[in-house]
Amino acid sequence: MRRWLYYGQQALRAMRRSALVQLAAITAMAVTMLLIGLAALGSHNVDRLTRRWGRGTQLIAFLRPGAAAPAVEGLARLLASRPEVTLVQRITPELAYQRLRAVLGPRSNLLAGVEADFFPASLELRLREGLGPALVPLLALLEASPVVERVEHLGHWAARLGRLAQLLRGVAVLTALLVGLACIYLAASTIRLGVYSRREEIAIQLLLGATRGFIRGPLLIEGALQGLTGGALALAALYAVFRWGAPRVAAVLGALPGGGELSFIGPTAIVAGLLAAVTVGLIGSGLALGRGAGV
Amino acid sequence: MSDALPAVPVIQLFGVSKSYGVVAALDDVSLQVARGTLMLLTGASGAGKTTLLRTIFAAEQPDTGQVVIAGRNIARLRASSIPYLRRNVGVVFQDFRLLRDCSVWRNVALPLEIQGLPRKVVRERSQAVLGAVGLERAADTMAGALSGGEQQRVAIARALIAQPTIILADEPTGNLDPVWTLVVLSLLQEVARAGTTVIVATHDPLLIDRAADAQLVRLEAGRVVELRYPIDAPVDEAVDEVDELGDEALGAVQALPSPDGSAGGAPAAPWLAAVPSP
Repeated sequence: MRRWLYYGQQALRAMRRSALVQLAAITAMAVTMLLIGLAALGSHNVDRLTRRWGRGTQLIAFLRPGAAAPAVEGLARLLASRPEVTLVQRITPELAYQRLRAVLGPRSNLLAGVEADFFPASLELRLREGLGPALVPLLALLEASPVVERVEHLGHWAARLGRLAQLLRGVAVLTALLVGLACIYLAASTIRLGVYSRREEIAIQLLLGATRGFIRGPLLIEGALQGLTGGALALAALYAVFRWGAPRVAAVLGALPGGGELSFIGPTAIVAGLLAAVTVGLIGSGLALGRGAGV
Repeated sequence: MSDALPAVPVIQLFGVSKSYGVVAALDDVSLQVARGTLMLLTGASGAGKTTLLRTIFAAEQPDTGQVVIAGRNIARLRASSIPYLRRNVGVVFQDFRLLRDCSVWRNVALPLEIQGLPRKVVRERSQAVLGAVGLERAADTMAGALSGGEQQRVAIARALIAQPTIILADEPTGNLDPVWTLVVLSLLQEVARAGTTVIVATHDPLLIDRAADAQLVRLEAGRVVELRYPIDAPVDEAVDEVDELGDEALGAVQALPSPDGSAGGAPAAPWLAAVPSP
């Protein structure tokens, strides 16, 4: 433990001595890691939106104008009795109007001159297990009902969003791989530069009986510290981007059902990201100290 | 050399040759150096003194012949064992090999840091050994800011600090004035009397003249052309004479200014007694 503390001190000392090179390397690593963070943040929020769509109102049956109340009531009861349906809610034209006003917020003046009865009455359904195979018989039942004019459901959009989330996850993984390689290269180059600039010191240490471990220990820690600092900076920058961009994106998404709220990546992802950054730094310094490094 | 110490050969060279291109740096050199010996290695520049020293601490591999240190043939040592051999050999390099942008303290402490000794021990031994070479007040000065003589003393302190079995000193007094030359000689003699094998490559006439208790080896074009042991003068008498001179030198050191301008401290004598063991 004492030895590793010593290595840590030596690594910090070496980093102070080559502050400019370290700053350039860490900044470059932070910028590249920020790309992974952005892809991960996008994927995280699209995933979240998809899940929310799956949990919220999943199906809307618009009723024919003038549909008889007992017939509508009968259909609502029938739907509520089905095991896959968890909630059936009757939406009056007035309620639909109020909802739209709330969604539009400051832009609700767009509804000026529009009467509340302009909106059709509907039945909103929430399904037990999200949007899935249960939708098919339910759709058939609703489309056959004489009081139902048309049926809309989020299944289509949710599936699209799911594909987008999958694509973003793929992009995040690919970015992580490419950026990871770039960061490894950066860490390796900085360590090689450090070995070169300290070749005299290393030669003296070897002459005085230093083992290869004694030489490599501080350099490995240096790589890990570069990764950790780069990762932490990238995280801070990602948070800044999130704080700046989230309200703007939320304003756009606000009009969508279940949209309007973005969240930052969770603590587990943050810890995993930092650990990955440290690992990248360690791999970089390990490669730099491989064969032919002279230490 | 102390009579009480057994004459165990610590360093043995058998027919060692080493060439750089067509130049023979060492030519069939065979030597045995017993424990506690102070050996002076003399000869003109290019005679092979430095190469011989470098061969002993495995910085050079001989082309032919064998180098045996403390009974172990270093050609048969694994590469991973070489550092541990070097930890038992304190080397004063001709060009000092100091970390110029590090403090004197860090330079001197480096061998102990390499060995992973506790900070307290490193601090105590560094202070003791810096006292021995009159540099305790320069501990925080950057090594590169010191004069040539002071750097040489730092290099000597670094070689002594780990209390090695062998000390190899390449022209350790080349930048020192006569007073410090005698102090350093006294220090090396004391270390040798305590059982350390000391080999000093030098063509400093003062050192050769005053080191009456030393074994003398003269190299010429890589060959041993003269081997004197013991030196003609009665050893005890010579030792006393050198000790006297050493004492005078120590007294003079107290009056020497330190790098910070204040009065210098006397080297700790005997320095070994003041140095805690690991």
